[in-house]
Amino acid sequence: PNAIPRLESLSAAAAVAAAARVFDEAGVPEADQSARYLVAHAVGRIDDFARLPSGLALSAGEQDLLVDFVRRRVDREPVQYIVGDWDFHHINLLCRAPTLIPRPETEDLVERILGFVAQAQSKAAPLRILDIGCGTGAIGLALLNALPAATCVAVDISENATVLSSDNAERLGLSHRYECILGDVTSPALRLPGGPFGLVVSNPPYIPKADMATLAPEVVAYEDDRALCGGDDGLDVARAIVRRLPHILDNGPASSAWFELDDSHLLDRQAPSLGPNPKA
Amino acid sequence: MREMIRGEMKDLEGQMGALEEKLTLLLLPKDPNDGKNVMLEIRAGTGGDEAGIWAGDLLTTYEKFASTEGWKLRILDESKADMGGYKSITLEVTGESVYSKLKWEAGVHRVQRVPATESQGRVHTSTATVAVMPEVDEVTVTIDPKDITLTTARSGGAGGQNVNKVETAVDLMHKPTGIRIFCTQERSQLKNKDLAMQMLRNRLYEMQLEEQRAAVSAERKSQVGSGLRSEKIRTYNWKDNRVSDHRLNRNFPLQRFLDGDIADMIDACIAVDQQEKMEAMAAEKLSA
Repeated sequence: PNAIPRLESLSAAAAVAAAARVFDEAGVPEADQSARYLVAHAVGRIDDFARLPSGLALSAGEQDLLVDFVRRRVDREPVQYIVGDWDFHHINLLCRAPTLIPRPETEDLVERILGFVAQAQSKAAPLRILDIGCGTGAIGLALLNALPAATCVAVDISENATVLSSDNAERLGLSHRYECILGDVTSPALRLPGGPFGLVVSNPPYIPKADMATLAPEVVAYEDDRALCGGDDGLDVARAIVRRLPHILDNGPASSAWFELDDSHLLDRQAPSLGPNPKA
Repeated sequence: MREMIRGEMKDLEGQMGALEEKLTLLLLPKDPNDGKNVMLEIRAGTGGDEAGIWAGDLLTTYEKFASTEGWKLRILDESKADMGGYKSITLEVTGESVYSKLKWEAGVHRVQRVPATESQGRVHTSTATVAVMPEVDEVTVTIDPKDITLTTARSGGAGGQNVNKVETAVDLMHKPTGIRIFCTQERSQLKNKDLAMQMLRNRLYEMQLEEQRAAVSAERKSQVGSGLRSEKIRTYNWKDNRVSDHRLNRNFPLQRFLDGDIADMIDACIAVDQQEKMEAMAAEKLSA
């Protein structure tokens, strides 16, 4: 942070170069990208991160902000937590530690679900969605955003997540179609309101215990373990969800359940064995 | 009484004339792409550094024009030139009737002036090429997933919950044509993918259009030109303070161009195009 020059006028280009140097020296990954995002955020223009006018001058206040952001990033805090919000699919979500930051792979999951739904029914047909382990609300809210007639019940074991996903629903104008409850899906006592559901989706914690220690500090030091670690083989929570499916999935011809899982769960590119699944 | 009637008849004849013209205009074959938004690409041509600066000047003019038209601009891709301006820049222009107006800007723009980089006061001639590509949807241009390879920052590595990276760039390659699009400007990888696919669709459509233009231009001699990318459409001369449009064979004041006031030049092209179409229609009627 002392390596960021405090000048009467510091240009965006110089700020990015200085921040990237600091990150490089501190061994922070994605030094250049991190620098671009944080300088853009300091000047209140995060969406222009890819092409900030190089001559744009940072005010003293903005330089102060940048120094703080750089310090946090040197501590390996994720960029998304420092910026406070991030784009996912076609929505923008507030991001707060320790709730899992949405990943690009999960955008892919949402796209696949939308492709399936488009073939199975009309966009205007009501669809009851259950999002288990909702985190920021990413999956459920992205689906609601794309499906005007759908409703979503979301559940998470963490109060940080239930508060955050409700805040996100509000911010996106989707509260009237989104209900989030606090609960542990592995507990038999959990009651889920509003079922049965035509679509169950989950991005459950799926990292095998042994892999946890190999993860970067951005993940392991800042994001909730309960969102990441799925037990010995990483499938504890997924299995618990599959056991519940007969009670939460409706009998419709197009009902479906979707999971995002780990690469280690692919057996020769076949779906992993999670136990008897009543729905094909 | 007769006077009044004659007066009315003259008025009505005048109105009829105007209505006939209006009707004829409405019956003219329309360019199906006229209402579309466009991907505008400005590329420095011959002339080294000065060509890059000239590309930047063209951009400035189009930015001003877009502003008066109420259009929105979004930069999709840019490659800055060392001495100023751009090697190339691609923008999305959205709003009303964008293609119908900007299509007249497509082609080679030639500038004759003493460049900023010239120390001895000599006049140089440089060029920049403008391509105006209508934005098309997935129905108009369908891309076979087998024809493309998409590489992301995550390709081939650990992903999902295991990793939190902010690099969301996508590298899209269309194998049959070799078109390669690198998209880095969105925070969401999906948005980068969607944008890359949109740009690919636009470029593929433009290739189809160029083929059509070449075919039409071989058949019919049009004054307002083929619209072909390689056509030299205007020369901008600083010493003489004028813009010469080679299609119209007319000059316009250079200052207007610098102010972004290109409406007159565009309207003149539209007028000539309509005239040609009306004559073609009339000729068809005669030969029928």
